[in-house]
Amino acid sequence: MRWSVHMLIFWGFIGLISLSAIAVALETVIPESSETARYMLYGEGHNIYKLAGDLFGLMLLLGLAAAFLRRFIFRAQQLNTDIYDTTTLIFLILLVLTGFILEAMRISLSAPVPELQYSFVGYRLSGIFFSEGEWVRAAASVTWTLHAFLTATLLAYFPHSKFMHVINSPVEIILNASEERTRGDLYI
Amino acid sequence: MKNANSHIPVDKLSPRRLMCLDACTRCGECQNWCPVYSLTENEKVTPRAKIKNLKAILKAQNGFWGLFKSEIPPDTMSDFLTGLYECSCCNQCHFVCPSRIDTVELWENVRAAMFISGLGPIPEQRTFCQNLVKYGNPFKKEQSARADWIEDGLQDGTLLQRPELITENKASVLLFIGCTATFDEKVNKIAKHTVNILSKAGIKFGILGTEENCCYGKLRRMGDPTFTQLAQKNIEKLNDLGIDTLVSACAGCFKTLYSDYPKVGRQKYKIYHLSEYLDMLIRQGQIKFEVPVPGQVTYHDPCLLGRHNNIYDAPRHVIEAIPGMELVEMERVRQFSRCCGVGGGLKIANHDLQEAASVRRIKDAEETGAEYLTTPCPTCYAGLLGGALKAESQIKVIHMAELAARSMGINK
Repeated sequence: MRWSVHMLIFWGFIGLISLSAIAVALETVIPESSETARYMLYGEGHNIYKLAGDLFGLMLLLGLAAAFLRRFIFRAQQLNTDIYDTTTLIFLILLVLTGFILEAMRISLSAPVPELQYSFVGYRLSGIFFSEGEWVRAAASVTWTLHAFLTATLLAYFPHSKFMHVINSPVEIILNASEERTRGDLYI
Repeated sequence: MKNANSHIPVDKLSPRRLMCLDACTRCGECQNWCPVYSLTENEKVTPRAKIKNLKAILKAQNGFWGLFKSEIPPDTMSDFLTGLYECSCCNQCHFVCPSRIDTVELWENVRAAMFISGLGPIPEQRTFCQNLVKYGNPFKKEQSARADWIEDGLQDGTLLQRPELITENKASVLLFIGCTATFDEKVNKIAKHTVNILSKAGIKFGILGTEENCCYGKLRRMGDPTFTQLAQKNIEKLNDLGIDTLVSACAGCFKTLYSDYPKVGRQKYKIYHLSEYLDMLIRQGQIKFEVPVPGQVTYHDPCLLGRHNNIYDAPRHVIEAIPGMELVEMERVRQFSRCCGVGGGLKIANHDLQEAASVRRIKDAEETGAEYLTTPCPTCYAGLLGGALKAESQIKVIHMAELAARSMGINK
């Protein structure tokens, strides 16, 4: 159970980070006139990108929900929850939820084209915000600000929190394996 | 010990060890396997709690907020001290940690920093270290008493012949006896069996006798910085002997000589644990087990030999080479072998806890239905003997050297 939860969160994050990296590359490195940019911005690539975004976001949300249940409802015996665990989990849940709500608001404000359905989570959620006009536009601005604020705060909080394991755990695994290999007692 | 606000000198902790503090997510996998936690169910002894408390202390003393409020809650410091020293350093947590944190290296590094700061170890352990340095052995015996087991063995016939001194015979193989097998009267038969085995196998070897020093591994385990200086002296002395092979009959001495001394200086000889050396002699045909020892035997992996030094197969090969003997494994073996609690200074810090750990291991052994429980380490052997006595177990705890000697027709 615990590894399924971790894998959902892990691959959800890796997927979203990879998609963000693609977006940055399209924004900064890849010429807009290129075949790749046209495919990703106006072609089928855009739909796949949206689909993948919702898929990875949903994986992350499911993982976080399972982690929440395991920690606070089922209270798994080996877990010992402190304020840092709670903060980390709430941070991530808020970040993902605001991300999906923001996407739903954007969709509700867009012209209704069939391609929007590739964002399968956001598209379904957008039904909540249809026909609300200016209220949705204002709420979308607030949600965007909140989402951006949470992202920036997360980056600032990162080195002081258990998020550091994202960097230090793999480094520790690699260093340990390298030391074990040098000693001739690699244990996998 | 100093008060709770004494500083842990962070500069004595290596960047490698400080880095791993943030690799811990407190997932609790270590708690599932920790032999001490399984007995006490006390969260503060778990590796994750130790890391959490250490981080809290270091942040309070060195972090940004420490500039304004550097006081550490007394509970945090006392919980950390309990966790750090009520630990057998068995290395189980390292093998089950998903981040593979080298926990024992971390504990020993922190213990060294605590020793310097005066925050640790606990008073009993500090006295132990002082006595070890003063007497040159943990038994508070005079150096001249290091040959007593030889005289006793020759008198009662358990020693076939007087072992030669390496300073006189200039042999290429040194048998390093170790303090426990030298001074502990319940255990020194191991030294006699080992000498008998090597003599009968025709190995030209020697011992240091009254010239042998303690390996001082216990100082390293408890963080006493005197270790480096004393280890350096030992290395120089052993190098000057001109030997090419050193055989240790003790897992503790082996760990110190094989894993810790290389960090102090270069050794000009190969180091073998007795079980490895016997396995090699069996394969070379120099040792032949001809007398059957009928019965089932189960094997206890000493932490310092197995998890610390990756020696799991050699002792099993020795057991399997004994005619009539059938090896039956316990549920927890090799990397997951349950610690008997004797190591890491736990026996000094909390004797009852160590004894309970040994009793637990005896129960593991009883579950196999084996007649014998064997191990190739004198300290584990002593701990398990105590555990068997406490548990009123019928299982016969026997050192591997004794099994080998029996099968060679020595000391029937």
